[in-house]
Amino acid sequence: MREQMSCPSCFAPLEIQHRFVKLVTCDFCNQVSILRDSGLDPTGKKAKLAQMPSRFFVDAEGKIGGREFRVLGRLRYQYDAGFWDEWFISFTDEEPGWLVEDEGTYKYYRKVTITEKLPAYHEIKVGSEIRVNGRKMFVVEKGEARIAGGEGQLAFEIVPGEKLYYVDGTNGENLMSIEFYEDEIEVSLGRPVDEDVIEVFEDDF
Amino acid sequence: MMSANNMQATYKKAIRAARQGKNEAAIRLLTEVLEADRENEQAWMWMARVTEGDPEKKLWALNYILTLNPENKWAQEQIGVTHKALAAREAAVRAREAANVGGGMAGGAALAGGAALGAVSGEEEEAEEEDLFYLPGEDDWETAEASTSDMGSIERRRQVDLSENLQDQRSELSLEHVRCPNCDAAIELRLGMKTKQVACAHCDSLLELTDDQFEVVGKARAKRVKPALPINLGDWATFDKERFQVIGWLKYRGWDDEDRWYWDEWLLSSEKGGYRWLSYDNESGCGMYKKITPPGPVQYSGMSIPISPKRSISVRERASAQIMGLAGELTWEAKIDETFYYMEGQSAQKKYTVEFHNNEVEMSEGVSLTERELWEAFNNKKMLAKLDEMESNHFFWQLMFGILAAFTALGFLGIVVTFVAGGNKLMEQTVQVSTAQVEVETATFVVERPGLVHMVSLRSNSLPTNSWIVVDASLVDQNGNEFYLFSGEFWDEAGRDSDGPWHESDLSASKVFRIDDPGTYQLVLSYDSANNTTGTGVRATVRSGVLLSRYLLLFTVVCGMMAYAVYLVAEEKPSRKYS
Repeated sequence: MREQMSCPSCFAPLEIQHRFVKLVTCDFCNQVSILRDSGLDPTGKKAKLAQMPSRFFVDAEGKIGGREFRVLGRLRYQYDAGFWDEWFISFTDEEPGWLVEDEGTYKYYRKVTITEKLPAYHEIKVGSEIRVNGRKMFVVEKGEARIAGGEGQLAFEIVPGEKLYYVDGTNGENLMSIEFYEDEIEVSLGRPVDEDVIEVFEDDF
Repeated sequence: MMSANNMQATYKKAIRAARQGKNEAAIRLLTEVLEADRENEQAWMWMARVTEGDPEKKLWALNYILTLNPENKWAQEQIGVTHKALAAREAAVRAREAANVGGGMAGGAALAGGAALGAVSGEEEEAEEEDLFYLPGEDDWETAEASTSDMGSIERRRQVDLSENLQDQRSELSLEHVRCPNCDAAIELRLGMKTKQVACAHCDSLLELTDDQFEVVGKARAKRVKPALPINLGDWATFDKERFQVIGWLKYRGWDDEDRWYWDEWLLSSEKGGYRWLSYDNESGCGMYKKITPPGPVQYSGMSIPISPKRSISVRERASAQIMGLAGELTWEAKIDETFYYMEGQSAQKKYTVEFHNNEVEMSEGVSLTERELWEAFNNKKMLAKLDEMESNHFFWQLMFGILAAFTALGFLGIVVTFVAGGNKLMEQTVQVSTAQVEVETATFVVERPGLVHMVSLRSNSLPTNSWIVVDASLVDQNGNEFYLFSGEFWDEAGRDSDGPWHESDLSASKVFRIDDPGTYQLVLSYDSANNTTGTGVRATVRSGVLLSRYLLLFTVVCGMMAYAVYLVAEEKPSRKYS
């Protein structure tokens, strides 16, 4: 799906690149807009990000374990111990996912439906095990973060400045991430990705 | 003429270049697109975006956009923003010119040579200004590629502006420098916005990045603790064909119930954006680590560390630790003096560490590095030369150890031979020495090789309990000359104490001697004194060619001690000498 729209703030053209896109950042005025049935709804937030050295960038194309992907957007989280970036990617079969880049390590996450009750954030202890969708998960990290900014196109309605609580865990084969927002809980399952299996196509400039 | 497909591909490529910050390439590609389609409004917008560092060019592009579409709101807004930036820069240029005029006046009062120098400076200034205000005309985009060569200088100027007004600019651009809020010294940020914590090398303040600015949160203590290896911030190293720069350093202290130890960790940032931790301590040497997600539950009280979903390794070390001090930049907030716990394990190929913090369990996987691998990675020729020298010394001490160990072994062998062989027996005879037979002559024996060491051994074959007797031994040559050799005291004692009955005796004595002349000799044994006995049977033995076991013993002990000392020197790790 490629739908042509215009930024509601500066009227620059915007091309919606994936059917799961819900949030769009204008390349020119950095206005963050929510994609609704009626069109793009400006949030009034701007989301320009400082560029950091990374293999990825919006529009980058490459392969992960042989599967071709394209980067649609980036979300930056700020937390107590620094920042981390999550790249919203789409594979050629349109499967969307998140590639988390934190201090040079990569993890691929896919959003899943919550099938059973989760413990409350404050009940979860680092070093303990919790049940998530029928699997036991060992909690390796928890904390508070906020959305520092974003660029490109993203799959959910989160605006810069929004706070969340996160819990990261593992069960040996899978990674788990729970994000507690004010009005939503999101669970993602994933796996670590060795940097050697990630290939980003390089342009010959 | 560029085809529509080619133009679309070039346009997309230009945007990808722009998103990667490769503005020169983006300008070149957009120029190609605009040459083919001068009315491509979106391409002009991207052109305005990628010429952000050059307000004149950006302004030109924005104005062109408005000629194409007077309603373009972004271009309208950006024209105002760009005019402001241009005005600020012109003010800076004027201020610099005013400063130069002041300098020129001072120079005029000095020598004529100074005036000539001022003229040259003025020309340079004019040339720079002309370049700065070069505006590409509508037909001049072909030259855009060449004109972008001044982008570097503009970028440099922008960095200076940033350091002067950090707070206003940080939300807009990547940082290169900040000023320490405590001492105002310039601090270089190699990681730009990725830096979460940085230590001021001048006043030792520890700065933490909050929402808007760096704040002093304590002391980094970088001046109180020193790295154990000469690895400096900013140094480059190549590991597995990937280049890394040293951006941060931490000194740790670990302890358990019995001991206390220290280690260093350097944070390395790769050109690709990855991170590694280089760790060093005296005991285990160097290791290169990267963070991994624990593949299973891991507890500090547990006996194993999971290294894959189906495999665990035993915990080799478990201790408490603290950060003592740090320098440079970190991508996380290091809490100085805050205690955390860690444990370590090792598989056949890799080393693993798990750290337990309040809100996080962190696991790292690493490999050992030899010091040669380390210094080769850093291309540190000085340390490699030092390592060569140390290894050469090490070889010398190992050789010395080998020689001394061989001498020690030979000494032991000699002692064994002394006891087993004991020389050539010349005479053996048992005689009775008593008050009734005070002086007894033994059988004669012939000494053929006078240079050899000889030994007389006496052994009493019967002595009553709680008695003693002293027998003198002399040597008589064939001419009747008598040479006193020694007095052998034999005793036998018994009694009872709190531990019960006891019985001790010493029934043997010996003496080594050297005979100067060959000939026939005999021993004379004489009763000297006694208690509770009137005499004893004595077996007298004379041997020739006896080794001096006590000298051998001394030789062996000295060689052994020297070998041990040399072993300690030889086994000392060369790296210990760095610290």
